[in-house]
Amino acid sequence: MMALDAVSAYVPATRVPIEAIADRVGLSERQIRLFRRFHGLGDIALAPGMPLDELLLAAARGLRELPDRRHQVRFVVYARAMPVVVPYPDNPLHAVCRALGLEHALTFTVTQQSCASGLLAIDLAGRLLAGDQDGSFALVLTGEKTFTPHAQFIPGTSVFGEAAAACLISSTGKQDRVLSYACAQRGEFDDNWRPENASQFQQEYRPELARVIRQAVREAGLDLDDIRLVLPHNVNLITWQRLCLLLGFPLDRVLLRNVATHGHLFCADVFANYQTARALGLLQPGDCYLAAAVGAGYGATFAAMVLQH
Amino acid sequence: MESQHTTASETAIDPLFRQQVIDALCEVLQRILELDGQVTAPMHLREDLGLKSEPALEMLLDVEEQLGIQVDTEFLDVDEMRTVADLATFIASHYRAA
Repeated sequence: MMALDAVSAYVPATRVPIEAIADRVGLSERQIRLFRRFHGLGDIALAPGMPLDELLLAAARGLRELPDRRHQVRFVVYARAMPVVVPYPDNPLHAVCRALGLEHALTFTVTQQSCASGLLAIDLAGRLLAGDQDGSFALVLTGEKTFTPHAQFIPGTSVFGEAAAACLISSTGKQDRVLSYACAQRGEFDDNWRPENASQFQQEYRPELARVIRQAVREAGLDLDDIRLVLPHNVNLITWQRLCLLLGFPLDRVLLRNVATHGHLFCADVFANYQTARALGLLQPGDCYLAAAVGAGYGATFAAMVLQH
Repeated sequence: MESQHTTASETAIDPLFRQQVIDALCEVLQRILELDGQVTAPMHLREDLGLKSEPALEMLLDVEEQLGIQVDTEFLDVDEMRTVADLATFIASHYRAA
């Protein structure tokens, strides 16, 4: 069964209060008060002066198992929200593969599901490994820079921070086994082509995410009560409060403490939250947990994955 | 005003405080939504006033600041509150002093 054999998240030590980026992104004093009071946002993690490839490398180098498995890594899948992040012909993924000695691997990037692309990459890695020789591994990378005001702020919703994550995936591992993956792609919620759908998107956001979460739990052969912990996307606190009401799931089993200290880390939220859960001893062997993500922008994707630790 | 967090299941709602909340809600809604007519307690938040999620949070922030309270939002879904009076009842039973 596909499994996450190792996970490493790199969250930079630098923390910046949301007030510090207000001018850059056009955040008013009233919006800051709303963000702090209801959205649970406070500081964001930033890596000033650290290029994207170094951010990704910092996460990958946290995988202690990787050097020994290097020659068995057949696929490297980079998941990110932004389609274009560096000027041509730079390619941070190729730079990372060179630095890690992974030039032999088949390497590609997925951005189609925006911030939900991280879970997509895990699913893709599992599919690729299932059709490959025994003993192969895939490396999933994610990480992003807040390189424009547009990349740092979703009005009325969230503020982004910078971080990266790396996962070593196998088809036979036992560390964190993937039990199910569900996603719903809603192309009609495209904020460029159909901005008039924005209010419909807000209305359907929680019911659709709840539906996908229930589907993933059902396909894992479990009930919601069996889920020990939810590793959320760090969009904001109030979305999860309302989602938990809708699901009938206890809020204290959703790991939300990083919302106030990291901000929304694009695709890396669930992996950074996994690392926090492990550090806090919140996952015991045998515990089932759920990772959730939503990608929005060029269409919307709602995704959930159930794993067993 | 209570200094402890209160819920409807723990204690009866103070009718005077609930009326204060209704007055504050009506005033804030009229201002935020830039309505000409007066807002009243039986009005439906969505159907009559067209209240959406983001202005709903602005409304809540203004009411909190006006009354010097913090509403317990863990169990609040403004989208599920039908009328101004419903929302006032929730607030009057799920708040603590700021």
